Formats: sequence, C-alpha cells, structure tokens
Amino acid sequence: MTTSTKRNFTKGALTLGSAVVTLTGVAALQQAEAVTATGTGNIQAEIINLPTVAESVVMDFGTFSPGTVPSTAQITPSTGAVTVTVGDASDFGTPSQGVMTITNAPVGVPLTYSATATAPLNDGGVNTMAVSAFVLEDRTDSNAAATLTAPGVITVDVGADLAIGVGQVVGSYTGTYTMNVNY
Amino acid sequence: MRSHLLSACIPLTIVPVSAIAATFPIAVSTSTNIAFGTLDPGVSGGQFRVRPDGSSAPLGGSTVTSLGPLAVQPGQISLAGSTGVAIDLSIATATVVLNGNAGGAMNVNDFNIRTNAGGLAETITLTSTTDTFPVGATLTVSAGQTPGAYTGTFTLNASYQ
Repeated sequence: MTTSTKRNFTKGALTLGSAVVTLTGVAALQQAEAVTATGTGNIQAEIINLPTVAESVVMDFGTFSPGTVPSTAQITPSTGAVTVTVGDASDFGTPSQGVMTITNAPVGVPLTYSATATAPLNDGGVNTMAVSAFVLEDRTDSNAAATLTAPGVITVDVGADLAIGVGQVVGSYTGTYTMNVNY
Repeated sequence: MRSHLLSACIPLTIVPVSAIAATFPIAVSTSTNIAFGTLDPGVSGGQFRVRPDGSSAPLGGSTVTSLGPLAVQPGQISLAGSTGVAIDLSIATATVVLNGNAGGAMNVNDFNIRTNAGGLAETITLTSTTDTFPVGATLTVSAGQTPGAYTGTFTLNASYQ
C-alpha cells in the first residue's frame, strides 16, 4: 500500500486548506509480476502387433489297438514319433506332432507358450479319450519360450499324451487344443 | 466558519484494502505424462481414450486393444498460484502429433482437463498454492500403425482472469 500526498499552497487554497490523499492497494504494485505461465506436457504410447497363432500341421496320434490295461501314448514334439509309455496298447499308422506358427510377434519381447486341450477327443458319439501333458518346443532352441531379435515367424512343435482305455471303442477320434502365447 | 470550510474541502480517496489481493506468479507443468500404454491396432485401428477419471477404453468401432505392460493413465497438471483467484488454464492446440521412434505418427486430440467433459480450457480457483488436475485425451491409431514408442508434447497456458 502506498500513500501519496499532494498539497497545493496558493493564497486561496491556503485559506481553504486543500489536501488530497490517495490510498492505493497492493494490486497496483503487482502489475509487473508474472500473471501468465506456459508449461509443457508429455504424451506417450507404445504400439505393438498382437501375435497371431495358426496351426500348420494337425497333431496325429496314428492308429491304436487297445491293450489289456489302460495305456498312454506320447508324441515326441521334435520328431513326431509315438511311444507307448504306459500299458500295452499297440500303435500303427503315421503319427505326427502338431506344428503351430506364430507371426507378428514383437521383436525383443520374451514370449512363452502353453497349450491345453479344449475337450477330450470324441468319436462323434459318447466315447472319448483324454489328451494332456502338452509339450511345446520352438525350433530355434527347443524351449517353450523365445525372444525374436528380428521380425520373423516362430515355429513350434507340439506333443502330448493320449489316454487309451481298455476296450476303447473303435472309431475315429478328433478334438482340439488351444495354444496360448504370452508376453 | 474557517473550520467548516477546511473540513468540507479535503478530498480523500481510499481504495478499500479488501478489494486488493496480492497475486503470486503462476507456474504450470505436468507431473505425470498422459500415457496410452501398450496398444495393438487390430484389424482396422481406431481411437483409444484415456479419461481424467482414470478410466480408458477404445471408442466405438475401434479394434485397438490395450495389452500392457505399460501403464495407462491420465496426465496430471501441476498448477501453482494464488489461492482464491480465478485462473484460466488451457491447452494451446486441439491436436498434438506423436512421433514414433521407428517412424510413423499418431494424432492426439479431444483433450479434457479436470473432468471427462472438461475440454481444452478450464477456469480453476486454487484452494492451496499448488494443486494438480488430471488431463485426458484421445489417441487415433491407424490399421498397420508402425510398431514402436511414440512421444509428443502439448503446451499449457495459465493466466489470472
């Protein structure tokens, strides 16, 4: 707050006595202060392509003759060969591992894979066979994981175990499985 | 008589002190970036919005998907100034371009300050000398958008009314 006083002493004014007192506020002194400001804000986003997974070869356990005890047939991912690991079922035919391809995977991001059966194999009726213990191996390092160093396609071999019951009903069994790619 | 004349001829102007307020310099910046996170454009791309209330979603018809791991969050504007005085806070331009580190560009617009319908400008009266206010926006992603990290800036203006 400032006070300025103005006195004019003229002959007449002296007689009358004239004084002007003006009180002004702080705001008048603040006009020189900054009353505007400018700042910068930042925005960020990351774009990646969602990997796509497609089946290129159907997993095929071949043909079996059920044994006298419950049996398990196992597909080796890298070779596609079938081995009866439990029981005494007999295998025939031309088996194959499943082959899945992953495209559009982001470069430099670690990926892991997994697979689960959507439902037991079914003969179109009421008879089923369970598939479990999926094993996934990509062809780069035989692991269920990879990190691309450059854009490309990842090929993954898939094996699994098939349960064959005693007296398994004769027929052609089909089913599906789901492969997940996590990153 | 003389005494009467004197008292009648003293003009006195007093500006009421109560109408005068000291104003401190304003400062404005962002303490948190607007972050759209990690997005997949999908088949046809589209828009993805981050709102001041912290919610986020693709807009109608958009195939953009939020994937993580980067956080999705509104920005936070830090505003400093006098309390009890109206301040006009605004974003200078309606559209900001983000540029990718591997090429490509994306537009950001539909800024909203403080509330989901706040728009580009808000009048704010501070209750403390420093406070923060959220800011949201909408990102437009094209189909086949070049993957990469995108960044951009926007200008904030603040002034006493």
